[in-house]
Amino acid sequence: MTSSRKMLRGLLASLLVLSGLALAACSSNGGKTSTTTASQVTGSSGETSTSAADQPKYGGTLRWGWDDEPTNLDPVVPTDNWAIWTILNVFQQLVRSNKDGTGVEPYLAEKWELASDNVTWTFHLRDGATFSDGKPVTADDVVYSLERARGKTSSYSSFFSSIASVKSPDPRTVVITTAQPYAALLPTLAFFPASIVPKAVVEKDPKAFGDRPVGSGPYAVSSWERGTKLVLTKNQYFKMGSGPYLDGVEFVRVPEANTRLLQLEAGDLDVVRPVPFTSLATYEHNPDFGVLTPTIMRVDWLVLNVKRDPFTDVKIRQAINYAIDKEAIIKSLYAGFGSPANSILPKVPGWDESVTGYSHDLAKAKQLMAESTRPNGFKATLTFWTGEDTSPQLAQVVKQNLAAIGIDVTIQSYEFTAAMDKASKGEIDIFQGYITSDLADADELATLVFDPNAGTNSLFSFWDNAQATALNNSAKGEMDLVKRKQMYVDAQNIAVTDAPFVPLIYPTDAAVRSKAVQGLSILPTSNYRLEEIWLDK
Amino acid sequence: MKRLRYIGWRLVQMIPVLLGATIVLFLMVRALPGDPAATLLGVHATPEQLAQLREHMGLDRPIPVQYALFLRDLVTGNLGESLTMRTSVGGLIWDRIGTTLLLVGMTVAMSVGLAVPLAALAALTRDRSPDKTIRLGMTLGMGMPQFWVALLLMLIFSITLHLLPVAGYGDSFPGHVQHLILPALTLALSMAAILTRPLRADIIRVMQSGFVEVAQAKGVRTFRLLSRHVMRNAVIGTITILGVQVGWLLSGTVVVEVIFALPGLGSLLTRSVLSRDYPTIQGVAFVFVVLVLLVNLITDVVYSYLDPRVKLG
Repeated sequence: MTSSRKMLRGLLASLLVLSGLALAACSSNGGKTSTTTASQVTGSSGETSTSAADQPKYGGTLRWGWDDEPTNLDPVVPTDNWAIWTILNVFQQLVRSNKDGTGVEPYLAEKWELASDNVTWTFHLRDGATFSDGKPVTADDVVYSLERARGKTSSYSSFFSSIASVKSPDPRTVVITTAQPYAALLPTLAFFPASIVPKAVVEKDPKAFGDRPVGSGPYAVSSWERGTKLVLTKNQYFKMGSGPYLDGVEFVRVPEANTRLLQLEAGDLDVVRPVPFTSLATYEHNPDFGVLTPTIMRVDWLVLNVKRDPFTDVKIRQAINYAIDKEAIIKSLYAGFGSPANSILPKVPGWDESVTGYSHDLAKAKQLMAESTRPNGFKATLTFWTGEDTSPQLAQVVKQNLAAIGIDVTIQSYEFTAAMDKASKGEIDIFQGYITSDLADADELATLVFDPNAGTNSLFSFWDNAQATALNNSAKGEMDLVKRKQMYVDAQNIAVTDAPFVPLIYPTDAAVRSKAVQGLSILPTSNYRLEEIWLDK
Repeated sequence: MKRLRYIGWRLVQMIPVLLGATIVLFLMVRALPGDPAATLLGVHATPEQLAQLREHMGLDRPIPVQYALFLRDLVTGNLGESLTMRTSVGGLIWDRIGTTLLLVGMTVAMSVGLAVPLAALAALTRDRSPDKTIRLGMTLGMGMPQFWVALLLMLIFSITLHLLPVAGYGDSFPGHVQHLILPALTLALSMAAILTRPLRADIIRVMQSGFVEVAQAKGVRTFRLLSRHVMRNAVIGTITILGVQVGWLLSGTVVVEVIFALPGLGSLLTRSVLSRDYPTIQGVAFVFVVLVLLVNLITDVVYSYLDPRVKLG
């Protein structure tokens, strides 16, 4: 029928016109694309981005794409990594973690002394520290903040249980007394719940403080659209060093890694973190971007439930340790980044390379199995929590490694909360996961691992070694650095011999920046100092 | 007048349904393994800290008491406070509902905009190449995973053609609309695929009926024939499907919200489930139930407008 054919053409034509109009109506966002050149210039893969030896430029706004966002910015409320990193830039603490992860450096306190009784610490506050609302930071605020950190409303009070009292004899001095000598006090004071808050503002409206915090750090929260964007602006009163350089930083929440990277390429973002290891290669040789893979205080492990048959047999546990090929894991899963783990502690002060871990030795593993209570192998389940990129593949590699010594592994995964639930009830055979240290000190993780009564039954292994626990307890109060380190090394060696744990890898962090971003570095404690970053534009 | 009474009666009928929904939600959420306090405090928590936080969260009281308190607050419009974010659940939902509704609205507009002409074209060229191509396209459209389609659209329209932003939500209303084009298109492609087949079949069926023959004999041109006579009858079945699809869409936007970093209800629900944030889960799920019931009501009312033979109530 002629009319319907005409109508057909009309329909087709209108479809085309409509789609053309639709495309044209959308204004271009002017995104820039980077072209991948064939040049073999290696991008920076160290801890700091290479600066062109220019003078830092002031101004500009940095757009940072992260995979989630803080839940709450009140330092003592339960917090997540994104909150922690933000809190460490918005607030100051008496001391802060230094850049090489060996300890702390002065921050709000410019110097301190420990009395000969080993329990009285006197801190002298620096001049001129000011909150972003213009009010000066006083010793009263410090006392208030620390009491709050160890008080009832704080979720982190147990970290400060070593503190007996906090007093201020004069407006520039704070005296902290510990119940017993506590070697890790300084790193504990660098811990984010110990951030100094303005007493007047918090007391006025404690609930609102988590949304609208006020601190004396280099940046202040200027706006926060939950789920979308957190905007920080320069704290004009912050005076330490020559920073902050950037006028502001926008943290944009983009949960999907591919999207983040596409936005970086389109020029919508300047920094992206985290980045899947398998994607890093694309950017390493691209002169428009820089890659950061700093060492952080993290260890990926397997934990064996020593109360469950047959993991009660130490030979089996040792065999498992020998059977895992860590180098292969690093190559295939972490794109070559990271190093094999020799100890259940990550690279915190107290870790040492002298702790002899297990090498990959299949012959020894088989021999140990032959001498064990299960020479013909056995079946076991491996459990990990979901939500991590590399977990499923890691589980597969472990399964293969253990199959070679006769252990038939079934893999199971649960969502994080459910997995933790099972682990704490002792319902798991082999638990695969990782842990990071929040303190630039061994105390936090060593206590978790060597003290079965610290809340996790020795990281869900239900391992109970009186000697290791005693060493950990002594190390807490040992002020002599050399002696203290030796105690941790001894405890780690006991853990290696007894083998309730199978430390796997020390992975690195992974971030990509556009070439204009200078001065960005990620510390071993996984946080970053925004006041050091500047844009070369 | 009758319609208004019908609508009023339907709204009243919603109340027992909502009540039932709250009970189911309340119990289901608490049946999940893992507890909010442990999730928040993490591995480092001591038993004392956990007990203290649970008390703070009100989780140590018996379940019927918790439920009664929840209902009491709900009736006054208070959806409670998020356990993890310590901010009002109502506020969180209010901030995000606009995004989800705008996304759903644009998706429906795009899917209808795609489905109607494609179905008409397919019906008119029945069994010839345009029809076959369209049917093949629709089958593919239903099968393609959203994740993949989204990334493909980003690569084409944002990275290569620089026409649209990669992700995010933008600042002003026009910005929002611009940022939602790709997400809505991702969803609309599969929805259009689902709508086109039945609509095509209905158009064919209606075209074969007596009154259409009469109209054609009278010399009515095809376009007018379709728009004035055929469509009104053909869309009825598809409207029902559309109503169901919109109900699904309300919570089915999660994947798209995550990929395109949109601050909508779907991603809020995901985050709160993962952190066992009971009040937020309850609040968002409850709002979804209300929206789905409203969509069903609207579908039925639209139905009655399209087909005067349908008696309401």
